[in-house]
Amino acid sequence: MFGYSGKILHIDLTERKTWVENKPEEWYKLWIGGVSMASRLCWENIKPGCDPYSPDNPVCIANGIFAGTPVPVGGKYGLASKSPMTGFIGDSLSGSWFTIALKRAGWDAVVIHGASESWVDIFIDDDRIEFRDATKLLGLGTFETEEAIREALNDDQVRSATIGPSGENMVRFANVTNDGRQAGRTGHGAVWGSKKLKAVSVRGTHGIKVADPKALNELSIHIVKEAQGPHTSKYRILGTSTNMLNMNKLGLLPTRNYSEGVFEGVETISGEYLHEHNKVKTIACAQCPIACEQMSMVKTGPWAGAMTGIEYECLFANGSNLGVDDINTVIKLISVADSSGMDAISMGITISWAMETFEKGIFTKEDFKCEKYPEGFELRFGDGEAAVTTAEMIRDKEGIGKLLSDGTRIASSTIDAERGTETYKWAMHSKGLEPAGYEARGLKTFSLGSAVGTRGPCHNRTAAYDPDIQGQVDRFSVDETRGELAKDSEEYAAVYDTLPLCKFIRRCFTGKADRAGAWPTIVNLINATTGWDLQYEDIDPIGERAHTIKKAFNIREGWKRSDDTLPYRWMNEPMTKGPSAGHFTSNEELEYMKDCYYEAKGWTKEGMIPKSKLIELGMPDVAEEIGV
Amino acid sequence: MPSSTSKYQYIDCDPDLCIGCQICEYVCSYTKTGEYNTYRSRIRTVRVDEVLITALACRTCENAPCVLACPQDALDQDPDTGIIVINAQKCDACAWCVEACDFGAISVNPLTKLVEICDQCEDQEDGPQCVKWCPKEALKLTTPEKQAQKARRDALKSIKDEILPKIPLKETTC
Amino acid sequence: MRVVVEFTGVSRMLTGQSEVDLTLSSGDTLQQVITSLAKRYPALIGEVFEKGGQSLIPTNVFSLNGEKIIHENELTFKPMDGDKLILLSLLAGG
Repeated sequence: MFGYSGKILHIDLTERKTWVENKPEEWYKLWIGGVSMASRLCWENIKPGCDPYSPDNPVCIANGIFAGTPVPVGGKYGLASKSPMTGFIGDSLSGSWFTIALKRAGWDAVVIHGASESWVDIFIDDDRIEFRDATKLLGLGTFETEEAIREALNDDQVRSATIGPSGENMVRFANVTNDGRQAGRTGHGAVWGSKKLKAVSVRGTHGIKVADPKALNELSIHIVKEAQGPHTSKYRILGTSTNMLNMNKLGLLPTRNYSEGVFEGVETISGEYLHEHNKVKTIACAQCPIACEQMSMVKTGPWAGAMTGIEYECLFANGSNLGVDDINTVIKLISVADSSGMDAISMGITISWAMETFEKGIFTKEDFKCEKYPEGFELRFGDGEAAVTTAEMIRDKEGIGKLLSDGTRIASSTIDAERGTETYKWAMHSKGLEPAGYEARGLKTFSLGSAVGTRGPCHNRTAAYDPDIQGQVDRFSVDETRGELAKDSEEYAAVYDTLPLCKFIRRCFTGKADRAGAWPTIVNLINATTGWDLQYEDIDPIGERAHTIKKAFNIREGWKRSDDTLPYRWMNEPMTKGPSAGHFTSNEELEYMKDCYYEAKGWTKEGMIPKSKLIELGMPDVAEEIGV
Repeated sequence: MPSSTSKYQYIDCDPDLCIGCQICEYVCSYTKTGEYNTYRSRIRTVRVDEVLITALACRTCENAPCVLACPQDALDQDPDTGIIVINAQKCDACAWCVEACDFGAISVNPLTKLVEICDQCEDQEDGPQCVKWCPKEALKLTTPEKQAQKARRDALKSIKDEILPKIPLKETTC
Repeated sequence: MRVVVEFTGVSRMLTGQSEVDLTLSSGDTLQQVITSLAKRYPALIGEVFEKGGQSLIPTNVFSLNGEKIIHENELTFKPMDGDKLILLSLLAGG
């Protein structure tokens, strides 16, 4: 078999045992890799209904089909477990050297069961597995941990996926970081922390063979050169933080805990400003010819020296969303999240919830007592020092940081129960995950895409804001086409999440990013790698299957139609400023769009999946368990 | 009469342009072995503190320490190109040359039991594959003389702003 | 008539400016806006405007005062006096 080793590594942390599972080629043709294979392995290896922090919740790592080859942006892997934030499937993507080292070590996927007695770094040395004591790595930041492991093994080719102090302390939205890139969302760091799994390290020395390397190289070099052209300049020159001004101009920039869509201080935290004042260098993930990560540094003030990669999602969440217009504070906040290993989006939105709760007098100074401020401090919008202190308290679970470390849903329900308040009205989450940096009240199709997200509201598993922003539909009103649009968008994204390929390459195939523009090249890349003979019409089912196994997983964990909802604010409070003023997504509008969506998916009115659809997609075992 | 400036070419990487993507390593190893494997690449990227990044391959030293160091005299230097040639019968992959090389440009292949050094893709008509593929054109086949000329031009450009205001320029059109 | 063009993203980086005033004759369409910008800022050609400097490369769009989005296929749009056209590099993801 080309493109795969045919071997899946199983590791039992409780028994300190490992074994290899071989899957038939048919299985690989169905699940391909990335988020699809990781979710499928999660389906196969989890005890349904288990506590996400229990040994019964497996860590599933699935490699990329193109990892380690010159296929541009193909160096990505998928990670899945049951999420401690949503109780549903928690799937995440990351990329760079760790992925490629794992591919060269000869593993298509790794499934980690059980929990370890003591803190452990699993070292996968080609096909030799070693359980290394990790106590000396405790307390080290994510990148520091990688460097310490390389130093201990005296080998800079050893690559690691790690958790930082936030994961060790089981901050619910802690993440897993490899090579400075984050498998950021849905709380994987907390799951690893619950298993005392500090890191997974890999040294892979085997060569990677593909079925038709000549064809693969020809296809790849064309894309590599196209990736230097106008289709990627916004990523290469400014990076994703270009979206700060874009969203502000359209009135869609989440501001002060999503109370508004425009932020008066946006210019000094824009991508343009960052480029001018704080940029150090643009770097790339391994195997990526674009290079979009803007490594930026705080150059003056108390946090001078803090450096990390700045992306739009973390920038809005810790900038306009906190009412902070000082770029140094934002970089510092993001570097607290990145170095300690927690989701900067969830962190920012949990802090903004706490800020609004303080501004409304529910929280007071006394609630924010800590070592640095024994009498407590005020947490108001725009107060950078208070935000940074709060972020550090979350990381260390110090004082109120312990409550905030559970994320917006649990923090608000706890406070409302204790104090008889209604902070849930500004608790920005859906299914327990904090949303993305697109004000859905001004994007009706994206409202639907966010509500039905299997891992919660995010901008990556669906690009349903595209038809809204591109003006393909009226972003302020609903109609019967939105169900189909949301389905198309999430299944298009799911193909990229399954290969995986980074989505920033989509215009570099033929200049057109739609299915007609992208699928032909993707078919050729897959066939040249694996020797299969896939056709154009075989690509859509890959996306549909990837999305369906995640929905099936959620159904088995107790998903109901009412779970597909939006934060209270998005459904009840119109924005008052900017081009999107006056709009919100009402319950009636959302329910109507959900009806259209379930119908477009071929599901029942209640959002359940018919047996026939599951069998058609190659999942008879899933049909048996949850098909209707 | 030998030339008074070195004709030895070598592949140089500009750290300002290099993004650390490693595509050069994938294509080099493929060109030499038919498989993608950074361990078999003759050019290797290196990264420190996440942002200091470059790639290194044989620099065809005028007085090649690897050739001098080899206890088996298994390494010779082509007098015209400066490329290091490995005598397969003599080389026993003891890695003494790896110690001698200051740029980590030599690696040992345990399967062939030989060392491997960049030969600038002499057998490829379109030249070094890493240079051809590099997305950011950070890799150049260059000589010490060309490098020195570039450095001088860059130095002049870097002080351009102080000089130019004093030199009246004719009105530019747009 | 006078129209203000605001640069953001790639166009701001390439022109080094965030705003420019354009004087157009009445009845001019977006086409005229693009050709005059391309002439004045050649750096935008091949990055924001197609090679001929006559049209927009996809994902580069004008937004009329932040509301309406004007695409590469709506060059017949007629701006009015005092309108602000914001040149955006739309970007998915982040």
